[in-house]
Amino acid sequence: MSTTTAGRTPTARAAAVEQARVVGLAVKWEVLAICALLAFGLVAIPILEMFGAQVEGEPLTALNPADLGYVAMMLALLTPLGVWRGESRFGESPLWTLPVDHARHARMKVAAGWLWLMTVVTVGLLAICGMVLMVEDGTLGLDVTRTLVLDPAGAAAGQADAVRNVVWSTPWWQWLIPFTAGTATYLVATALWVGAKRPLWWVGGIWICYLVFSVVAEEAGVAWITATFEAAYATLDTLFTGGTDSLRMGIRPPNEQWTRMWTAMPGAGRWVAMTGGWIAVGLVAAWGATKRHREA
Amino acid sequence: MNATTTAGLPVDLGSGPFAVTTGGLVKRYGSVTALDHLDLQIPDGAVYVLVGPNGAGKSTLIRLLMDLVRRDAGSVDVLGVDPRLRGAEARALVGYVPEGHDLGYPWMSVGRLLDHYRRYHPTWDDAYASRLAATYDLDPTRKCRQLSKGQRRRVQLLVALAPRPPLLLLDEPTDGLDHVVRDATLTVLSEHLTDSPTTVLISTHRVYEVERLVDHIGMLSGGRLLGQLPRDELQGKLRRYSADVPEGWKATPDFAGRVIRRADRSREIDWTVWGEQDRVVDDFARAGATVREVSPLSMDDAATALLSRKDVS
Repeated sequence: MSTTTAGRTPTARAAAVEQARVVGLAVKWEVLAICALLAFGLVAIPILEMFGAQVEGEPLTALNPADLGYVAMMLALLTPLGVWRGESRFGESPLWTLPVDHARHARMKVAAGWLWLMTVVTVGLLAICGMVLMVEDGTLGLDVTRTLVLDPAGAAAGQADAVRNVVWSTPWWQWLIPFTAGTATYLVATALWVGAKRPLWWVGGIWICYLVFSVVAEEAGVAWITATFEAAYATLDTLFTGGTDSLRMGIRPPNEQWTRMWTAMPGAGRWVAMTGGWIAVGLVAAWGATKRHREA
Repeated sequence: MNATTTAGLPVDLGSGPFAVTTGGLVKRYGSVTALDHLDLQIPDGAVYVLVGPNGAGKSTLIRLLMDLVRRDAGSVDVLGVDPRLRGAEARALVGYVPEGHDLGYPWMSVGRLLDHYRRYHPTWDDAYASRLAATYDLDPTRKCRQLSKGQRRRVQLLVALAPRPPLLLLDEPTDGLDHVVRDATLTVLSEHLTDSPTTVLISTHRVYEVERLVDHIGMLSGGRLLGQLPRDELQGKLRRYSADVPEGWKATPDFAGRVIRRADRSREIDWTVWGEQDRVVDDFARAGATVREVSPLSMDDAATALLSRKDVS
């Protein structure tokens, strides 16, 4: 070894590619299990109905991509556990003994995990699309008529002009929801996993705070707390479904049962703003979390 | 060159060149001070053994040299690099065997793990790595989770040596190895030092295992450096003196602070004393004792004597 080669660090590309490989090995069995499940679904077509649209009155054989946001979220929540398997995040881990800047190395690992997550989401989405297309009358995306509430009081009173029927087709951006929901969730979960020594304590603490504030808001009638939670929920619902739940309200016209009607149709602008916000929060949090491992 | 600790042992190894130095290095874990103003000097090309009891701060020091933990005060220089400012470069210069045996990736095969490290070390010597794997009888197809403690240690040694780094930091390198593999490991290390110009820091509390390799020694206790010196100086100046003494004999002040260990019987004493042999013998004579025998100590005995010294403060 010459003096010019001694102390040479690997190129960023070499380290990043190797992290992608290592993370791939770390999550190999989970990825294979998901692939097996999807393959099973492709073979056992009747299982398709599980993926049918959940909105009342809308066809079960049509794939609504907005329904896959929560699936991606669940997957993304667990992904950091697999990505960091075998590494002692705050202890003496082989990762930290390698000749790469610690924070940079952590970011490479996070990016590698995201790549694998997106790969799985892509494969999953394609497989589910395949299942839908294999079913008789199966269609990709919704093409339905939805009832839009113009005046909630009027709709409850049974006034015909208080509601309007709208023809709704799944817009292109809703096909991105599994990816964006997965990305935002992965970043936030990663921030907790990489930045906190006891992430479950944080999750538990946030949950307890939420419960306490909910009870206080309900018992004491503190409107601003309720409004804050509703607004937060609306951003999450938009992130995970495009707004399927938060844009609907229960209406009970005279002599009819409760039914959920749309207050507005999901829109790209709202989705971009809220999803962009959550991804930005996730990016900042994940960046900050990796900075905890900085050298100096 | 004359700086000494309160224990009377030298701590200054001269003007260098040094591969590793620390100046006033402090590391605290909460209220516990793991390293207390440590001034370490490891000469370039030396095999330096750092001895000390468990909890002395040996592993903490090595982690600081790798920037695996953050120092609270002081300076560190690893082959001209401050690990805190340029951690990646410092680690690229170092082959590291950690105290623990965890390889980190239990699902990986040994071969894949070695490939993993190869990709991070541009200086990785494939032929040498293969030779080491054969020497250590490592099966590349075995999963890391299936390896015994000793086998995991062999993998760690291979990973540390294969890039032929200019500095090796070995934290209890023989821990977990049976006698046969330990001897093989020391032979490998010896050959490695012959083939590659390397500075080595070995941390251990079993000096006898590495004694044949070592040319410098440092003694650490309670986070403080009791002394650091060349092996020859240690073995030349620290000797066991057996002497006959009159009944009721008392030592003169000449010996103050220099007696490391003592065993007194009625008309016979057996002392381990620090100092030039001729001077010590003269001091005994002046005090009325007749030295019968002077014997050198092994490094292990010397380290044990110095570390167990009661008046060390």
